[in-house]
Amino acid sequence: MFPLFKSGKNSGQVSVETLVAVFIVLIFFGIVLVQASIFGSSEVLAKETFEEQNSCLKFSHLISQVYTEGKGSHAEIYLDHNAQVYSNGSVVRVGDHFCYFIAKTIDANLVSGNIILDNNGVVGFSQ
Amino acid sequence: MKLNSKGQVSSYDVLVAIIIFLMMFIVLKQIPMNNLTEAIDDFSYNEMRLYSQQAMDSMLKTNGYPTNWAAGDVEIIGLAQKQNILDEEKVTEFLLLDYGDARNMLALGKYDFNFLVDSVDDSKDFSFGVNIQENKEVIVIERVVYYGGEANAKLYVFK
Repeated sequence: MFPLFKSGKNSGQVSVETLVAVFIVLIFFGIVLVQASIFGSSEVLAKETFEEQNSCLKFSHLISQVYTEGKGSHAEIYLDHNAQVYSNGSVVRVGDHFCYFIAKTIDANLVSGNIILDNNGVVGFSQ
Repeated sequence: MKLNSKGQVSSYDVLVAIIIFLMMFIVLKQIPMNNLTEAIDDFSYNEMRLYSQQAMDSMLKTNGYPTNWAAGDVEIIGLAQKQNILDEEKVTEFLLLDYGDARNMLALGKYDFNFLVDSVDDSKDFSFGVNIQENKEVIVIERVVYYGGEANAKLYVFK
C-alpha cells in the first residue's frame, strides 16, 4: 500500500493518488454547489408555482360549486394570491395560471384575502 | 530513510471511501427531484378530478344557460330538469353539439371526455364524446339519475 503522506526526506510531499482524490472531491463539490444553487432556485419557483396553481384551482372550483348549487348559495374562501375573474371565457387567473369554471359571473379583480361569493343568478364577489 | 507507518492511510482505501461517499451523495440528491415529480403528478390528477366533478355537476344539477337553451345558443351545458332528473329535450340538444364546443363549455380544456347514460329503458341510452383510449389515466364519475327510469350516468375524463 502507498502511504498517504510521506515523511522524512520527502516531507511535505503527497502521493499522486492523494492529489487525484482531492482533485475529484473538489470537482464533485463544485458540481454539487452549482447544481444545488440551480435546484434551490427552481425549488422555490416550483413551490410558488404550485401554490398559485392550487389557489387558482380551488377558487375556480368554488365558483363552479356556488353556481351549481343555485340561486342563494354562498361561500367564503381565503385567497392567498391576487386573482382575476374573467366572465368572458369563464376563467380565473392567478399569477401566470389559468383555471376554468362553469358559471355565469361578473368580472372581478380580487386581492389576496377573504372573498365572499354569492349566487344571485350570476356569481358575484365581495371582499 | 525508514518511513513511520503510524498515522498513515492507504490511498486506495481513501479513494474507495470517497467513491462510496460520492455515490451516496448522488442518490440522496435525487430524492427531492423524485418528490417534485410526484407532486406534479398529484397536481395533474387533482386538476383532472376537480374539472371532472364540476362538469358532471353542471350537467346533472343545473338547467344550463340560458335556462331553455338549444344547441345554437347554449352557453352553459346543464341537462337537468331538476337535480339528477334529466330533461329529454336538453339531452336531444346536447347530442347535437359539436364535441369541441361541448368540451370547452364543460371547462374540460385539455382533457377529452365521454359521457354516457345507461337507463333501465334501453331506448333512452346515449353516449357523447370520444372513445376512451387505452393506457391513459382516466377519471370516472358515476351517479344515479332519472332518465326514463333509473339510469346510470358516467363521465370519463382522460388526457
